Amino acid sequence: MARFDLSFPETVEEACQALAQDGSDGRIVAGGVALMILVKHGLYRPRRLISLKRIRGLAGVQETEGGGVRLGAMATHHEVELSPVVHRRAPVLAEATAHVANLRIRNMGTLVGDLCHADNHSDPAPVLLVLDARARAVSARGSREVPFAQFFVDTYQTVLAEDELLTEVFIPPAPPRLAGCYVRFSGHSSIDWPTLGAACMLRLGEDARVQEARLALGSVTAVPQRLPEIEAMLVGQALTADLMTEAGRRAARLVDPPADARGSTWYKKRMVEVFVRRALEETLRRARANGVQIP
Amino acid sequence: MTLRTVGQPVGRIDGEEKVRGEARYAIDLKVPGMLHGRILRSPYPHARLLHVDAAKAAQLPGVRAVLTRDDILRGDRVERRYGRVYKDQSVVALDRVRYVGDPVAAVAAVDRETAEEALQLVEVEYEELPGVFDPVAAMAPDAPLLHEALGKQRNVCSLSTTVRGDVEQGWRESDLIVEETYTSATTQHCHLEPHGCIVAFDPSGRVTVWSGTQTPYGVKMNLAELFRLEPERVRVIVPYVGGGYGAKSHLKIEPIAAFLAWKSGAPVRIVLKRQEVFFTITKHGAVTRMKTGVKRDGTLVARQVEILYDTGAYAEGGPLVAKKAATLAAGPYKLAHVKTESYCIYTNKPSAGAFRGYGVPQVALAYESQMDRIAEVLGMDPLELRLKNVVEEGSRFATGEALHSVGFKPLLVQVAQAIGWGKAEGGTAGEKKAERGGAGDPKAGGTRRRGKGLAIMIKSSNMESTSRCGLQVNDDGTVTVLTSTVEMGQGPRTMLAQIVAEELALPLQAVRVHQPDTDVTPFDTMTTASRSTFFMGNAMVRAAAEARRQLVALASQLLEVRPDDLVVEGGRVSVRGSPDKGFGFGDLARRAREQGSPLQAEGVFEAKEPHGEEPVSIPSFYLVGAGAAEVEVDTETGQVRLLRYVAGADAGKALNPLLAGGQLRGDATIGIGQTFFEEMVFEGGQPVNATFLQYVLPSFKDIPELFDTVIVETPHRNGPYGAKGIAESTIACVAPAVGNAIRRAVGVRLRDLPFTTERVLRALAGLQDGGR
Repeated sequence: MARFDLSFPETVEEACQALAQDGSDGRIVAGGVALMILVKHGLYRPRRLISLKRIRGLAGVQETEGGGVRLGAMATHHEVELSPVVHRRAPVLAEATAHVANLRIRNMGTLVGDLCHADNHSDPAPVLLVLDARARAVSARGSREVPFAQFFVDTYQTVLAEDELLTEVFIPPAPPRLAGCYVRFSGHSSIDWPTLGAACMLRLGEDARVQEARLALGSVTAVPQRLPEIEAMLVGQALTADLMTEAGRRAARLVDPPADARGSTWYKKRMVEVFVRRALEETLRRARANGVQIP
Repeated sequence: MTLRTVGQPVGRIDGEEKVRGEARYAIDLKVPGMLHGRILRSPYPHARLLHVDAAKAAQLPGVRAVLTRDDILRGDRVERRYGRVYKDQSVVALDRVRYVGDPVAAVAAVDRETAEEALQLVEVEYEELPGVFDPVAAMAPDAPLLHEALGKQRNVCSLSTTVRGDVEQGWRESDLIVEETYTSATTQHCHLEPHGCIVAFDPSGRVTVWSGTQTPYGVKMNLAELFRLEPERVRVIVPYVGGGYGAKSHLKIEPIAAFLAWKSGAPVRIVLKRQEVFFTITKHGAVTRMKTGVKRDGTLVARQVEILYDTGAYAEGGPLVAKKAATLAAGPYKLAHVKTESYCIYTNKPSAGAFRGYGVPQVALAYESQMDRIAEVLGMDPLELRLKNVVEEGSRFATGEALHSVGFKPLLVQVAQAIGWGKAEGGTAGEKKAERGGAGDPKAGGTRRRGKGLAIMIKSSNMESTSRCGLQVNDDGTVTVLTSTVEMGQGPRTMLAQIVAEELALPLQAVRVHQPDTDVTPFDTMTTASRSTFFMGNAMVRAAAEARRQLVALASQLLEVRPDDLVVEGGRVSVRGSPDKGFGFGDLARRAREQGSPLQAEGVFEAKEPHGEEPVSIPSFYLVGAGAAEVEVDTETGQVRLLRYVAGADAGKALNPLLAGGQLRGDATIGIGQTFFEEMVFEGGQPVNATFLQYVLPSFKDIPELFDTVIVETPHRNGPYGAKGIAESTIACVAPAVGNAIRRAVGVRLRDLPFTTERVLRALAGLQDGGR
């Protein structure tokens, strides 16, 4: 394995300074799970790694005023998966996080690290899209917020600049009567990366018509993406079996998945069709279980 | 005879050491002053080597030796070519490279990083040649040839045939003829511990090899031949091995390490990276064409099989795999007319060789799928069809041999019973209701369908081989066992210790098993083919009986009591009825040594291969296996959930039911991976998934929660306590059992491994592979 420098800044400011100085040579390391695989396989040769381990204030999951959730850059998948705050305020995220790899990896890897790595097979990424979550990016130049809808540029590529550090993820308070789910499909071993992940959130009115719909797909395209056309077609409608089937069909036409080890384009489109429908069915089932009366 | 230790489910004697992480494997070993070797490998599947120059690499500080073709062509240290069957391989490429990963040069340096850096400095010029990547294309008249200098036409590396009766007559006697083609993917063994070895030449020219090999004596003999040494000058020591499954038999990385060690004058360690393991040896991909003739009442009449094994760039053990498969390809059925043709075909891919099942999984997929097809056409129950035709005691096999210890009938019945054969397919009431709700319209909610499938298989062990062992009684009353059987997880140390404990009436803890070391432990052909229980077990019974005879004779002499009046119990030999009158084993060992004849015993066991119907005194044994699967197919996604699996074998006698059950589950688990996911994928000869990042193995979550084993015991007349090997009994059953279950669940027949979700869905959609 290649040799590299590893530094342990103690504040976000120090980490940003180090990033600014190192330019393209510097890389942030949190849990190190994805990064070290790349290094071991010679796919990435780091020169300087900047560890976040000693920075206080990046850990943990907190509930914000008004019922939002703040996830620190060092929060591991397992912390997110078990967090009572996440279970109360964004249970679908806990659901998706439980699917990440295996327990050993969830104990080491961080949610933010996974997002910054931007492998398109991330389980949590499409969920953050339907939660309308935002990232806080900090650099020596200042700080900004980026909605996750704009965060992913391409596979392994995000909008973060070389000198920027993603310090936290913010999930805004959810409106009442919002139900959701994450459904995942792996055609290979069940612990393998998914062929497809579908996240869905629906707000249903008293008349059981869709007031708000949010749908996102992961793994199947270069970056996780929302499906605004499908969302628009659902709003104002009653969720009939035909409508959900049609939503699946249209979603399959909207995506153009690349063929790879997880299937051909034809197969993946079929899976989009099936799992968009299943995500809607499951969300409806949960909404019903939560007391929404469906005529 | 009442057995006390043998037949008991005792825990493995090396378990604690392994759980504590104290067991040492080849990759854990260090030798003072050792260097680290790395191998430069071809990036092209087929190319002429125009130029190889390692001068710059040799000058890098820290580099102690480089190895290129010049060392082999100009020197006389090693034979230019070697190979277990055909001498088509060289230590590094001489004139051509024939697969991506073919060794071109090697470096030994003070650490791995320096060696790695030096590899970048080796200058190589290639001229790319057209390659050929599948066995059917490789046999075309105009296909590029890999080994024309060896006279290999149409890339045929070997052809083995078995003929019994006359298939042409068989077709005429048949009412129904079924003909199909099945394919299996190239896969890799994926043993947890990569190949690793250390080789040291001492100044006298003696070589010591520490290697994680399954074949200590094979490495010794082959290395001696390659380096033109007397075999006595090569010593091979084998620590624990972290899984082998056939991938660690005979020469693998030892020749390169040995050459670097000789050239540098220092011990050289090579441990492969995972990607290199994928390049070193694979399981044969195969195309199996099978034609079967059957009478209307279900009696099988004739079967013809043609198998093309994709053997990769070099022969390796491939021709031996194909030869064995030729005798087994018609399956465990009474057939008057059999003709099999089993080809090994060269392609520009990594070499294929021994893999658990040894060519049988590729043919069992065909014959067991075809049995269900025949049952379906004739309207028979697949279990009944098998019971009607399966071989039994005394049946003549395709080879002409009269079979012995083949309890297929009781095994089939018990495995079928364990899966609930004949009972409604489908589990819980809730599930069934859902299925009924969706009947007629798979999209109306009931998208899951269940089915069950059966399969059986037969495989022979080494037909001709020898095991020797030694046993000594120590002054402290313990016994040391000297055996070259390799412990690679399958449990022979425990099994052999049980036999010695049984024969000498000792507690298991009083038996120590020495690690294989060709300077110390006697000759054994190899640890392969599920042979150790039968061969080494027999040798051990004989050695222990001899030790017992010596102990009793000495005690008889000292006590002046007739041997018949002595009993051996609790580490003592004493007078029957007077336990105080006697000697401990330790006392006897000391006295024997003082008398000049230490208590040492040897055991030998040898089997001969039968030729046709001519009987031999001690034939080897057949592995008899079965499997049953229950699956649930999601008709919208093609996903197949394995709800329940039953792995079964005829063990002859299970010497340790706990370890035997573990063997069956382990065997079936590998089968599950090969059934659903595993495939080495190549694009134009370039491997695209040769790492654990991409190559998919089954996880514990892919193993069914209901995972039963069935062991029947049809004693083998030559087995120790009636025992046979079982380690390859059930792997070959998984794919056909699952395929048959899928067929019964959703009506499609899958013929190509692996059964991916997409293949299932395409079959359901009536589409061809690679469709729109």
